[in-house]
Amino acid sequence: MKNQRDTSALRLRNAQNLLRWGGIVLLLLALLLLLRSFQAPGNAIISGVLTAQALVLLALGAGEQLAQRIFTFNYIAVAAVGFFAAAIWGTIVMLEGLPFFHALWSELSLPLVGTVGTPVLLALAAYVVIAGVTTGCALLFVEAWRTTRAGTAARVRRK
Amino acid sequence: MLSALVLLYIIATPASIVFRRSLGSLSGWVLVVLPLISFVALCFAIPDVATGEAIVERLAWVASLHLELTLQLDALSLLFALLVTGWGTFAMLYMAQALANDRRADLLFVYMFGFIGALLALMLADGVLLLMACWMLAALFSYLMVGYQYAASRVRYSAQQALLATAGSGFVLLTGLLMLSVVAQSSGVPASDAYNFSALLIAHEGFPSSTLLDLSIILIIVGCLILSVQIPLHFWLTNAIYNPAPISTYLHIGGLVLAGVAVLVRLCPLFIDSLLWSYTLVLVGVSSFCYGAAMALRQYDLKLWLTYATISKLGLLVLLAGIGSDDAAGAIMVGLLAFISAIGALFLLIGTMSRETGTYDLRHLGQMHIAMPVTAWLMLLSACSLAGVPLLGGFLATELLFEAVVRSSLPQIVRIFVILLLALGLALSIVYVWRLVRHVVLAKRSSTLRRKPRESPAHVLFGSGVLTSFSVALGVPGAVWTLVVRNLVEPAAGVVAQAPVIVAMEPGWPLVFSLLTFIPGIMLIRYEQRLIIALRVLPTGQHINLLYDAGLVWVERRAANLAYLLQRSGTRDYLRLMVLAWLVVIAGIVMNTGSTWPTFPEGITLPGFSALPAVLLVALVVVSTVVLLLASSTRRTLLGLGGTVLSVVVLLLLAGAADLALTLLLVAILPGGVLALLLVSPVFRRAGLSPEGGRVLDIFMAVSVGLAMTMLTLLSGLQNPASRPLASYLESAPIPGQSGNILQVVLTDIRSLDTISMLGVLFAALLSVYSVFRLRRQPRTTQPADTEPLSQEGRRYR
Repeated sequence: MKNQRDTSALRLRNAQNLLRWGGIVLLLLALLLLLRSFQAPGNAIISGVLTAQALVLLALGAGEQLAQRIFTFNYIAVAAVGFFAAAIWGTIVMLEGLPFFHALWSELSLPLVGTVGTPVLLALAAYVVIAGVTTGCALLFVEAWRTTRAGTAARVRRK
Repeated sequence: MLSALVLLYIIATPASIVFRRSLGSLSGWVLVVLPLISFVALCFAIPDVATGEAIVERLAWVASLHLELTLQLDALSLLFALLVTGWGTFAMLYMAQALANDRRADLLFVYMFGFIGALLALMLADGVLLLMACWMLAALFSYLMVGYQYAASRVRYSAQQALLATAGSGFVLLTGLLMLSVVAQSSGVPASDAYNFSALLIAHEGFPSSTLLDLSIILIIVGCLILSVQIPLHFWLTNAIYNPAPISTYLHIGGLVLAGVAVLVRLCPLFIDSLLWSYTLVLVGVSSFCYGAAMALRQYDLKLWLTYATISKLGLLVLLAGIGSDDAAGAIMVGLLAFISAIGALFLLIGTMSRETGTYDLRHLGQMHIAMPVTAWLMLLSACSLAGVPLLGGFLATELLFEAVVRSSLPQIVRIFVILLLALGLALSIVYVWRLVRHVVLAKRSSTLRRKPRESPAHVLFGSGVLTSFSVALGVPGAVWTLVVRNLVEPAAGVVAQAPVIVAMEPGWPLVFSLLTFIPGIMLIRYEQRLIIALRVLPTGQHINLLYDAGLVWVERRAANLAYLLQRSGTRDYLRLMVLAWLVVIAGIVMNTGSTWPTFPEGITLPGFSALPAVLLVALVVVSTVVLLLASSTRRTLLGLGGTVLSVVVLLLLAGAADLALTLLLVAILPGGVLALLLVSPVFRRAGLSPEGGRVLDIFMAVSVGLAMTMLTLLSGLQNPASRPLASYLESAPIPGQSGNILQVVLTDIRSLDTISMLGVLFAALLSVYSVFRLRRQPRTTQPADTEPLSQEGRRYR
């Protein structure tokens, strides 16, 4: 009997490890896709969605404390900040007398990103909004799912 | 310079929200700096603008739609902008000391600040787009300010009413202006110019008179008159004044009301030949003048007294805008300066006095010139200037008014009629100012006051002192008069009249008229009490308020019925309905445009793409879709979904679209799995999202949506060549920073406006998902104490 419990605990720990490491790898992949998006396939939208997936996996696989932090994070504020940042970056070029959201490129070139310009900023803002929105929604679904699962399990135990 | 001024407010308003906590009660003093800076900056522009030049700044907004923001500072907008910012400075100064002990007032300063910025931009706007944006912003800020003490249901009622009145007037005006631009475009004005006032002004001679033009004139008049509180649309202002004095001052005199007059005066040269325009404005203006004066005579509440006096004086300006001649233009500008500064000083002084005495009731004052000498005498001076006592600013305005009416091109009989009504109104004005003198100075000291009033310190009286002396000095021929008239009044009147205007007081009939009106006025003083009793027959505007209440209740009831009618079933039904509607629309569009079945163009080959694997993969897609549709367990659902997506991914890879394959793989596999797991979980079964029941209908809809999407893609992709901008972008010389990843470039550069709209939609979606999931679960809080319907509540307060 004791042996059996040990096995199930071990299985759970392995699954959690898998989820956690999977989440971390996905998060790194998302960042890579975002930063390289002006050079290679990938864009802000996929990397945002990918970040959400990574965070969901992390939340399921991480310890109590980190999971709590991920679940209670204010994703609305993140998305709002991203949205306003996107709008403001669109208006910056208007100071130069150019139309709203006109693309400006600088001479500066960063190692991973490539040439820096206002579209890069817009891509970053779009990433923040999409990551915030999708993570927020996904975690709400996951939470609803978990609480229902717990409720069902409790009902089953009571029977 | 102009865009810098406006930008200053755009930056400072959100910044002051952030920093207001750390500034605390100091924020009023700090924030007063910005209106002052803009006032001084505008003063420096006077010499340039007075020569007839206009400073114009254009900002391209959305170049592809010919939308640009034009800020124009000509003499007319300079006069209004100076009034707004000068006013803003005084009102903020007064507010800073009046509300120094109010801990919640810091937000009020922010609203006020945003309000000044919106009005400044409104005065400078030369296009319909910017004008409307500022109008609505001003309406929003005024709503926040009127509803500042929202704990009282009366305040909430009047705030709602003020919002509906001001924003509603904005929509009416917008409709009128859009109709006007349609008229302009039909007479050959290019579309990019048809929304700019200065371009319309040049072209307006050629407008054919049509029903549409008349309709647009009526709508513009109604929109402006709601805001500049002319009868019978004045009822909202008397409700809106129930808040701390300096707020109502700025809100109603310096601000919103002035905006209505500003738009009216700016559009005046466009419609000067229209009889509809001039007769409507003359009629409404002169009747508002008399009605306001009569109602002011009836009031015991000082605030209401001044509100009706304001309605009355604004009536004069509206009347002059209806006449629209050179003389009228000059009279409008003098009237604006004289009346608005007198009324503003009175508002500040009434606020000061009521703070000391604790009452707005005229009957409780008396012998105030002993307790508060400076306040009382300033009050009397401003009131006399308002009534048009000789050698004060108001007299000059009245004299110019008579001159404009006498020399106008109205028929003889109308002119006599208007002059008689003006004389009546002026006589009534003298009586209502006499009432102020009698109650504030001559009456016995009241024993009902809670405490002994004391004179306010100099810095409190500073603003009202400046305004009073300006209003008084305007009437005395001398240095101030010459300076103001030569540099401000005459250029501004020149903009309205579109010709140089000389403003001067000339001896003649008008002077005799304006002096003669004093005789009936002074005679009427003897019959003051009888007059007040006789004037009780006048309607108070309560009927219109009742009509407004009834309309509000009707709209609420209809909305509730509609919601009940439309929102009775579950999410699944709405989803089906939406998809079906979408299908019908698509089918309609395809049928109407007469599109033919798309033919695959010849000569396109995909390297490495062979038929056999492709056919096999398509078969796999079909099989796994069937499995997905018929699945009865979680495992089969996942299997079907995975099979579909993976075969499509491989298909894409075969066709050489690695980017799309990657996207699909990353976006579809993981969330698809999670979603499928969630969809079969008990939560969604309860919420009505589960795939149980109506499966045949669902299969049918899924298949038809897929077919429709395929058709659309083929139609748009194969029938038209690649759209111009994208093609030219690809063909143009390499742009720094761009790569082979055209998807990212399209997303962030070419279609950046679409991207930001998409971000907005996503954000709204997040908010709604949150509200559905989070808010529903929290326990319902107890209802606030007063739950009686607001419209019932408001009806009692008149």
